[in-house]
Amino acid sequence: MTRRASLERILAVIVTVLLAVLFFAANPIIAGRMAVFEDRQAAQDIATGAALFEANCRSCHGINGEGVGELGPALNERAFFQDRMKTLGWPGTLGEYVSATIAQGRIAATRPLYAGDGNVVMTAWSQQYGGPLRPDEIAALTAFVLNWEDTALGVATLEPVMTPTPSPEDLAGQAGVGREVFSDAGCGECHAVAGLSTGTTGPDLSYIGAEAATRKPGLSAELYLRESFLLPNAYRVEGYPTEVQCGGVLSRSQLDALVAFLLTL
Amino acid sequence: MTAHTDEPKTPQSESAAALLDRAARAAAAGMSADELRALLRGDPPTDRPNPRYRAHVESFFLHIRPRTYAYASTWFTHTFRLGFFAVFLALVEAITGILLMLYYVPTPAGAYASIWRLQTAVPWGEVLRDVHRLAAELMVAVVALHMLRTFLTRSYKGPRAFTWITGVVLLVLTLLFAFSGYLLPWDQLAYWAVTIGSSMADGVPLIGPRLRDLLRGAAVIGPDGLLCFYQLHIVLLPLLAALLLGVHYYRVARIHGISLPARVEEGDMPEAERQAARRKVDFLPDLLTHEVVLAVAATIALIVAALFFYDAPLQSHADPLRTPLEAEAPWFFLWVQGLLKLGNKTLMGVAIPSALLALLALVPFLDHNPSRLWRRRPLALTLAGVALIGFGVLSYMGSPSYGITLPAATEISQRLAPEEHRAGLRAVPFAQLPVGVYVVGKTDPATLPPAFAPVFADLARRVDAATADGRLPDARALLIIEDWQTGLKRATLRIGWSDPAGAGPRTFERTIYLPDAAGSHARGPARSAQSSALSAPPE
Repeated sequence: MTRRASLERILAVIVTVLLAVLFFAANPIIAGRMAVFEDRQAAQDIATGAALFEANCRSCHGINGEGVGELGPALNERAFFQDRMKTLGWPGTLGEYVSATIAQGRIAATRPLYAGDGNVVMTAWSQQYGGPLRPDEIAALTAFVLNWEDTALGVATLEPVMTPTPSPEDLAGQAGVGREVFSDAGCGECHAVAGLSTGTTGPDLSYIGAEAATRKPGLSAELYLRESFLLPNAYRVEGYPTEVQCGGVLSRSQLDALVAFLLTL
Repeated sequence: MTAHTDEPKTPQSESAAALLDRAARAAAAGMSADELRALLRGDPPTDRPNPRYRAHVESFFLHIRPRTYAYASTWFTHTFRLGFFAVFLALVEAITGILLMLYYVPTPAGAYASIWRLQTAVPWGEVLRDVHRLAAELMVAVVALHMLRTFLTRSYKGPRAFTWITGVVLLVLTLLFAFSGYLLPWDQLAYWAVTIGSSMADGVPLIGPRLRDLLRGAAVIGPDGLLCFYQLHIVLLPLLAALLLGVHYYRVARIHGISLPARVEEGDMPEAERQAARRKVDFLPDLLTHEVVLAVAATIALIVAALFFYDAPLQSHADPLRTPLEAEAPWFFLWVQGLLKLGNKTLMGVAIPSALLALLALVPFLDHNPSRLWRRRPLALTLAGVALIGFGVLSYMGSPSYGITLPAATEISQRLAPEEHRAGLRAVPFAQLPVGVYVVGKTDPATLPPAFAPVFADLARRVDAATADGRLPDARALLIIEDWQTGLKRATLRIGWSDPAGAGPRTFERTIYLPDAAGSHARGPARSAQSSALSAPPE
């Protein structure tokens, strides 16, 4: 037998033993890896849910789940996490409740505070019922909503962003951008603004900066303008169509600029 | 062991020895206990004719192996064991593939979730998937290198020409295996790579669109398309591969053997050395030991790589409505993507690759050079070199960044936080993303946490560069990082600039969601809710 062959004979035994050892020794590592992936999946679900929430849910439930007026209930409050199940007599978990509500929608309000006159209050979001969301997206949204638990129960508090107060020049610049947004988004096709557009389908906005604060009691001029963009039917000016088809898609910064511009009128 | 002592044997011990011998003959393909012992110890055969040759007749698995090899054909630098490793990896794929089938669900609703379940809830599941993916990519490389080696040593002469052709078919099957498996995780990477890949069928003259729809199961890939690729991957291709591999392998093993190195075959060395190089080496036991060492060591390497160095990619859930900014072809098809940037689908996507393949299959019939020595094959080797460089260049041209320019602001945003990859802002640890407003040109990166600072500095550098070269005149960029929930931050990138055409101010805004991947999330309810959500009425 050659030297090489006898060496390989020993090597064969060594690697086989090594492989066997690896199978046993790796088990704690495997358990650790599974935990890592579980965390990654949970994190990915929450991030996916966050994007879906921002795209689909915030106009009724608020960007921070604080609820919007009479449209949608708050999702980040203590009562939602602690009392909701008891009030409803729902037999399952909150997760199942949230998931089922997103999937199937809600045809009547469960609390008198929110609109519910027999019409659909919240539409079904699951593809199974004609909505846009896949089952995995509903699971992700559910994970996101449930992730408010810590802040809702006061276990954790979040640090607010300190934004610098804008200077007068910044505001003027923003109003300039808002003017562009007004033209680019086609607002002028329905709304007249002196010297800029002549639309007549919607109310004249030439003096909206002065009028906005008086339209809806308790709502500041800025909030009124924001609401009017996000929910065009929330307040109707006499003499204009009752079913308003408005709602261009603007980014947050575009909406900020548009509101700044309208406030200068 | 009792069979080998020299003491006089009692009838009982004799019958025990006889029993052992019978067992050995039954289990070790006709070899006696003595012979088996000699084999394991590395001693010479105990009898004449060599009882080990008899094993090659009695055992199916030894029967498909040659009894002897020419010594020179076992030289490592002649073959680099590439054919062996191709078969080894094929077996790894078969074994891990069968195990993966236990957990995989071939439906759009279930596929992606089943991959996550494999990684989070099945012990060794992630290793199984990583090894399957890693071995698949290695197999493409090994098979291609095997073919290159065969070309370089001109081992396709005479009866080997047909073996070469079966090898070309096996190369195509390997690529189809890799490609059909690509879709199965049903993530964005898979979905769009296969959407682009299957659109190649469009380029086939006359039947193109029909072929594409047949492959996809519909105009866009959906449940039928997934099932189609799944069945290709687990039934049709394995059957074809087993057939072709059987032919290919048996021809090498029984018809013509592994080729001799050219200098041994053509006598380009002293006669004594040549005789030594041509002597026969028995397969049993030393070559078998060698193969066991290689196979076990490679298995260890694959498992260690899967545990510590390699994670099979898994992007977000496939979404037919959301086209990724940068669709990537698998690396072994980058050259086709490169070709496609040069012309239309029919010519570049179908005609040229098919022609190349046909040319490859016909190599043994085009090469009339009587010699296999490198120095007498300058033309063939030059062509091989040119082809390799060509593939390299085309692959580079096929990479997403080549020849495709994103709008400047989109490009900056994509580099800051790629859509799918854990890079840039997404790679910064959660704790190192302090809440605040960071303005390019005002915020000093040196004041930021160590992992976040280079990411912000890179953003600033890209914005400055875009301002300098006129793509984003007067660019102003800022990054806002907010707390949104526990374990979830929201980063907003805002870039403003003046339109180069003088059409006034422009803005770009993107929100990036940054979850804490290190745990502490409330979980459980959301996942378990999914199953019951569809059956239970809300109230």
